[in-house]
Amino acid sequence: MNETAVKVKELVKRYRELLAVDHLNLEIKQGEIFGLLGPNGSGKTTTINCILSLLSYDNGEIEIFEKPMKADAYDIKAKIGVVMQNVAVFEELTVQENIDYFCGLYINDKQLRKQYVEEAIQFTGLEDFRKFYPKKLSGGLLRRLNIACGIAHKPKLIILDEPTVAVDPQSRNRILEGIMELNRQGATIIYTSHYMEEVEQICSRIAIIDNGKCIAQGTAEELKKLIKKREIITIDILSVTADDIEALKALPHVYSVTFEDSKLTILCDGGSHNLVRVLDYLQGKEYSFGHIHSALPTLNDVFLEITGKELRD
Amino acid sequence: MLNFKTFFQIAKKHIGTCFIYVIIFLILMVVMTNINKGSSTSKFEAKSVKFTVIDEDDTVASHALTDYLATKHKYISFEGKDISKIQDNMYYEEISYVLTIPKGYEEELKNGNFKNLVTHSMRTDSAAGYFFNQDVDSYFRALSVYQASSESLEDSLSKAANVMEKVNANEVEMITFEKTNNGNSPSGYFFQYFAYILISVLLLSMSPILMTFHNRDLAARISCSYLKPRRKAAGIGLGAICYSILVWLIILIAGGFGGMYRYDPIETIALMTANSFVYLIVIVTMTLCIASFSLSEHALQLIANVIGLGSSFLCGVFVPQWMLAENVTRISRFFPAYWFIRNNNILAGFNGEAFNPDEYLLNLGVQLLFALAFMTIYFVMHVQKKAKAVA
Repeated sequence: MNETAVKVKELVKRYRELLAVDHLNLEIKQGEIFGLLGPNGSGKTTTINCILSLLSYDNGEIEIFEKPMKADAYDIKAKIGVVMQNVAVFEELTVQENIDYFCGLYINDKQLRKQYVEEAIQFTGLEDFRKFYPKKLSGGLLRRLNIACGIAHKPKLIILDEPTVAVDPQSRNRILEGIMELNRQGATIIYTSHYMEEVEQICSRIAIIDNGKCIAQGTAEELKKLIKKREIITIDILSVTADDIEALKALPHVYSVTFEDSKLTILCDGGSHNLVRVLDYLQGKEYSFGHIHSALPTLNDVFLEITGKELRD
Repeated sequence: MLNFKTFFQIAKKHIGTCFIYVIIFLILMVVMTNINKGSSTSKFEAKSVKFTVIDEDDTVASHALTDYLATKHKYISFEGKDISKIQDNMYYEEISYVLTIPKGYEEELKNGNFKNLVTHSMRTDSAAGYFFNQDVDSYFRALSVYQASSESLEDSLSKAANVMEKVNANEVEMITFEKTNNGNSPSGYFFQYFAYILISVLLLSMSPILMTFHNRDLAARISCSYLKPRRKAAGIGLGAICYSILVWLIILIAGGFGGMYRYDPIETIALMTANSFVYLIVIVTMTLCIASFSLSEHALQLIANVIGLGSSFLCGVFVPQWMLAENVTRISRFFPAYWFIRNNNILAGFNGEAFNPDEYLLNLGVQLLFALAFMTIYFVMHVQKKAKAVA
């Protein structure tokens, strides 16, 4: 599917002096899982709130399913499911009543709603908790309830804003699997997170946002190709001479060698068999070494190289 | 109707607070009813006299007099009319009044003589006998009127007895009305405390429901749904109206069960009810305003107590308005409860105040102005909040 689900053009949002979103451009195709990745305060939630018309913005255009998105665009709103960063459910209603309420915001037919509510309960694995009040649920179950409330009406576009914050690994995996299943069923997903592993795991395309700007956009592989660093080799070694460090730097594709706290770190800008060449050299010099680790760059490395700071800063 | 239904689903969780206040109020009412019941019973017993008749005439007319008095008082019969036995019973307070109908009583009536027809003995330490004398005198007055219009004695006796029953019924009502004017109206007290109960119940049980819908995250979540704001507001508004009317009715019905309306004329009760309904409108609008703030449960309880108790003390719920200092009543005029209590005072006749329709309507109008002011504040806050949310 090549039709555009969401198009954000030159979006600008200011909070007095603070520029929260700075000429942001996004184009999300139908059927994608699109990740908005960025540290806390980078402008992800502001962007989402602008997309949902919860916030007014200073400049730019937003289109959803090729129609301008406005606060009174109820025909568009009917196709959107929202899972907010903060769990937004009624404390006084049970799990089932909550899902029924949020489904009822879109579906008037009682029979159909009943069916959808049941499907949402089963989808999120809340069958045993349907009569529970939110206060009695664990953090993970509460997040699952939040998701069930957002997806029960079977929306075409689902926006999930940090749905796994403060969730245990087991619930997190279940949530991520659920999101991928929703996508397989045909929903377009916008997923915001500052957890790069999650975004990398489920998103087909990713936009990295910092200070309200989109600093990079593409698939995870495309993003990693944007940076020089392609392989990081780490070797535990007692000592190494300055001459050997220089010699290692001279190896093909190696562009940085550092030695600190008995740890030798070698950065390579691509190529293959980098680890074999490094180990051959060290063995030739009769160095004895311990733990060896070779890793491909992460999205954090991408972020670090582009912005000069860690994603988790 | 989704929000309307949800309003009452949430209300179920807060109904406990509502019931606690209604139960406390019911207990207060029962206590008040018993106090009032006690005073009215003693009054009735004072009018009901144990008497006997020494009927020396033994005619239709003498029997008619005995029968009439027996409908008003407690007739004790003595076999053989033993005078010493009657005196003993009078000494031991078994009877309080002895009426002697002399021979020739009926003849005297036929001749149109109604003065000094009967003689009596009564206990001097009891006021009851004087009520009895009044009844006897009234009977002869009525009988004289019918006899004067050339009725037969039998007809006059029957009509006099009938009309005296009606006259005496009116007298009972008149006594009750006087009691009201003396400031002992239970409905007056009931509606006076109504001011405090209504504020407490609605603030503590309805505000949390409204605040749930005003919760920032929930409101944002609902805003990005298919539900239009007007429909959302209509559902919540209708819920609030139905809920508050339900609470109002429960308290009113509880008042009925507590016997709060039995001593006042229906017109007075109707006016008190109308006054309380207008006050309900004020409290609902005030609750809407307070619920617009995102308050914690403790803060809400604090506000409910400050407003509920504060306005009750200042406006004359707990301390009557006429006992409040002038400078206090000057301040209390800025509270809607003051105008509610003003109306209640003139309706219940507290402190001898007389009902004045113009003042009643003026007080209702002032209350409605308060409601209007609260609604204006609510809408201004709502608009500002909305503007702030999308800024």
